[in-house]
Amino acid sequence: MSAPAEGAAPGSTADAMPVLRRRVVRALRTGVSLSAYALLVAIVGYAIFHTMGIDTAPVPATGGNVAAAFTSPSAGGLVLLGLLVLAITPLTRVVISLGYFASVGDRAFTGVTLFVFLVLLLSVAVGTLL
Amino acid sequence: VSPVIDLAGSLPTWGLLALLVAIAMGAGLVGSLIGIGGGIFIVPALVLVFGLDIHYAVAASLLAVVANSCASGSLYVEQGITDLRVGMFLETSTVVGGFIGATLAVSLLASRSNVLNLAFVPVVGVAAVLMLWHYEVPPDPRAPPDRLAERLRLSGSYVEPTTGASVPFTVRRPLAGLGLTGLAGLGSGLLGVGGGIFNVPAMNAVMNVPMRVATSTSTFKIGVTASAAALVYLVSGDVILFVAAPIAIGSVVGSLVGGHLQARAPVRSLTYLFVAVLAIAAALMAARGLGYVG
Repeated sequence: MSAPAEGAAPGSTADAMPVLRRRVVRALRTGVSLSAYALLVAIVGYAIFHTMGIDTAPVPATGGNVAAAFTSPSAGGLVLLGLLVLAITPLTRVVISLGYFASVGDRAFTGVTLFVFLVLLLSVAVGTLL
Repeated sequence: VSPVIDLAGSLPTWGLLALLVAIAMGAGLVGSLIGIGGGIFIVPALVLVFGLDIHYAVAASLLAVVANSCASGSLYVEQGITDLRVGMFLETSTVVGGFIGATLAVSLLASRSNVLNLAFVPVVGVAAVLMLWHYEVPPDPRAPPDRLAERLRLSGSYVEPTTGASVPFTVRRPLAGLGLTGLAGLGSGLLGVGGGIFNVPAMNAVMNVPMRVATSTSTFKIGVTASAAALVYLVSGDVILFVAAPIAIGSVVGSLVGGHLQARAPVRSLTYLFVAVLAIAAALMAARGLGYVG
């Protein structure tokens, strides 16, 4: 088990791991902001150029559909990218935490975050198969 | 009974999108005010008002839960109220629960929406009981230390914003907490509810975590749980883009507004009102699940 990070009291919720807290906050805010901008632009554009109803066909986030969102920009493509960014934002936070715990030698929490990361990757793999 | 509002063409596009944003804002605001998250309102609203299959409603709700968790969770992390270690420890079971729930929903239960509609009913029932029960267990400062909690350094302290005092706490029964929050994760993946209503009492009453820390830690960690489930739905193609997008945006705005209003709103009175609303929604979901309504 490592020494408390950056001189903080062991396990102190308020004072421990200030670097990790800053990185987590930055990752969450960047992800949710990017996603919100993409979704807002897409639905405003869709509302302007589409007159009646909405497209109710479900769209899977496959490699082909994600690539098409870049090569043939559309409101639907932008929504797909926005939702994908949103869904992987917590995963980004987990990767940042994993790197942090590995760097300070906290083996128990490196294992904990690695496990969570692997389950999230498994979600993508299983979703592709279903 | 045909859907009340046909998403494919009964209203102008802007009107439908505005209605979806408004519903999600309302759900996010109410969920934030009474501390249970908006998912438990979003799913029945999408199923009952728009006639959506529950799978699409759950997928949209899960993405809204992720958005809320990222937006509100970052605020709590910055304020130092969230216990990152407790949250990340509990994520190990909730993320598995969320993944299993979503996988079951899009595979074994893919053509059995009635089962999911019926499953919503007991979840709403338990949520209603927890909302009405004035649970808040003050942390026991003399609680004996738990070996696993000590080894993982889960116990800690937080700064109480109202007094500025540092409040220490000793985490107990981490494995029981892991099991209970794992079940909450399963419910989240199956039914699109955030799970905060179940996570918070598990942390507070079972693990001896102060209520304020339990609430903010739950908000922080349900993003990962919902993400595991949302990724399954998103990649397997169970997401209607122009339903999920306005729901995510409206829900974040509503929950942020609700968070600001919480201190001034008559929360207890509102709780009774919304328990009644949930009871009606649960009855309609049950009728739908049993085939009495289309």
